[in-house]
Amino acid sequence: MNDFLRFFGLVVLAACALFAAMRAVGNDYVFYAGYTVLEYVVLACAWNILGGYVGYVNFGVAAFLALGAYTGVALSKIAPLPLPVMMLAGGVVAGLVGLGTGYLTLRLRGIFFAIATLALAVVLQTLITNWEFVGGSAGVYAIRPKHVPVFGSYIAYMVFLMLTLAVIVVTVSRAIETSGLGLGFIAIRDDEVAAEATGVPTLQLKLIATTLSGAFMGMAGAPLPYYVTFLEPSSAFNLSYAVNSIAMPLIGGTTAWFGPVLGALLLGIAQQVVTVTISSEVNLLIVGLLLIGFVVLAPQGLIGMLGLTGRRRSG
Amino acid sequence: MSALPLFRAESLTKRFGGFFALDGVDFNVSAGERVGLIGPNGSGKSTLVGCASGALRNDAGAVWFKDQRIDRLSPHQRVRAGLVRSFQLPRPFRGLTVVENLRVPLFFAGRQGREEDAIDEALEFVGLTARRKAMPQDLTQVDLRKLDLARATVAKPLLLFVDEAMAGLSHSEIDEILAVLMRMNDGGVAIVMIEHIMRAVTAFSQRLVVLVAGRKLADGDPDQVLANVEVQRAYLGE
Repeated sequence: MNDFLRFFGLVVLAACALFAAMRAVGNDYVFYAGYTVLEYVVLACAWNILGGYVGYVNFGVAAFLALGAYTGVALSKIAPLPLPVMMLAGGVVAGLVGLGTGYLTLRLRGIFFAIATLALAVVLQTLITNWEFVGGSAGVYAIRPKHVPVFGSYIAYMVFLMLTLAVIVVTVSRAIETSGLGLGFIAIRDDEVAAEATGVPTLQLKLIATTLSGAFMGMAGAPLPYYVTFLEPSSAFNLSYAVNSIAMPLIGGTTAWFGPVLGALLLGIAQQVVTVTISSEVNLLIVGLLLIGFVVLAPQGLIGMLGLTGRRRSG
Repeated sequence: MSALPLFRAESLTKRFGGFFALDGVDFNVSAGERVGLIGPNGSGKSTLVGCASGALRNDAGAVWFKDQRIDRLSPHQRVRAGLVRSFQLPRPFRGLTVVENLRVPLFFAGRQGREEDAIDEALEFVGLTARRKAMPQDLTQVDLRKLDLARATVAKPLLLFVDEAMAGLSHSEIDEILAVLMRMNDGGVAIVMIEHIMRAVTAFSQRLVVLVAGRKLADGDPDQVLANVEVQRAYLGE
């Protein structure tokens, strides 16, 4: 517990330092770019809870993100709520869908599970596209308030919230790794039949993972309408969310929390730089090349290359 | 036999399509007993282990363990009740060290607390103490079998199904595994050994059960069972 608090304190400190540094630059662009990078830190860590620890590849990242975003849109049509409340609501909805998806699909393994999650994204996109209340195929405008107390600009406020979420996701990820839950996850990843035969309640553990993973993605998606100010299904359900969220942990390393964080920071920042200096179209090329490079040269990711495959529980 | 047996399968039946892998098999094990389960390939031995451990669902019949009907329980629930199996091929958790492999049943089977001492005892018991920090990929075949047995030991079973733990091992390695199983049995664990290596089966078993084509052909004293003409014809050849 002491160890947990110390780690949490360090992460909070790092987050505060980062936020102060972004403030010090005094340019809103830093916040716009930083928001996207932080969003990917959350998505990559959330994906890694199911994909890295338990070994189930989720290709439907965009579905959970969009669920969060459209939960926010639907709620704001009914009553204007503060953004943190919307994030919580988005997390609850996406978490429940994660639970349901897990229950329906976790008897599938490997590539079949991945295809089922991709199908989920397609089905949800079709539903949202035909749901006029949240804008349907035409899309919906989200007007963000001009000014927020304390933070000044709304984008700084959004970055603050995303940073807070990132702190939570990282802390939860590490708590999983150091707990019996993480041990059970690894057992499932290595050999599900042997895990069950060793007393691991595999179905329950997998449901915990799909729920947590989905909920964090939904929370990350809730502010999206205010970030893009105009949200349409084809952008909310963009496949690049899934591609990036899978590529980042794979490049960084999937066995420990700092793998996805490292991957998201490197790839996310590289994409921002390239978008400004060359073109946003080059992003996908970078992801592809890096992915090929790492799969061939460093299958354990950056942290494997640096010999940091995570804490071995002493013993 | 006055007391109820520890494990009881009643007219156990398992079909794969139109094929009867098990056809009305009765199979009992008493507490602390050593039973050998033999039969030609495809006779239903592994199917029986599957139905007993929960990896497979029986189509008819019932399985009882300690007065509890267990044939609709999931495998991990049966493990927690004290019914454990090992696999035909060793199935270690390859991303975990030897010690961490044993921490999985310690944490999840959880039958007698979560004291780390149980891990040291199990390693000592099977003779893997020197390899506690090794990864499974660095272990020899016989050490992998021992790891499987150590993992079972940590779960504190009352009954252990050992599915061909000796296939492919050398003469002296077979003796090592046999010794471990005998020691487990001395500690009160009932063991059902599924094995093709007759030397091991006869040395180990107090009782022998023969399956042929999904039916029980014989059940009793090993010498008498092996002397049975039908058993010899079906299993050992004409």
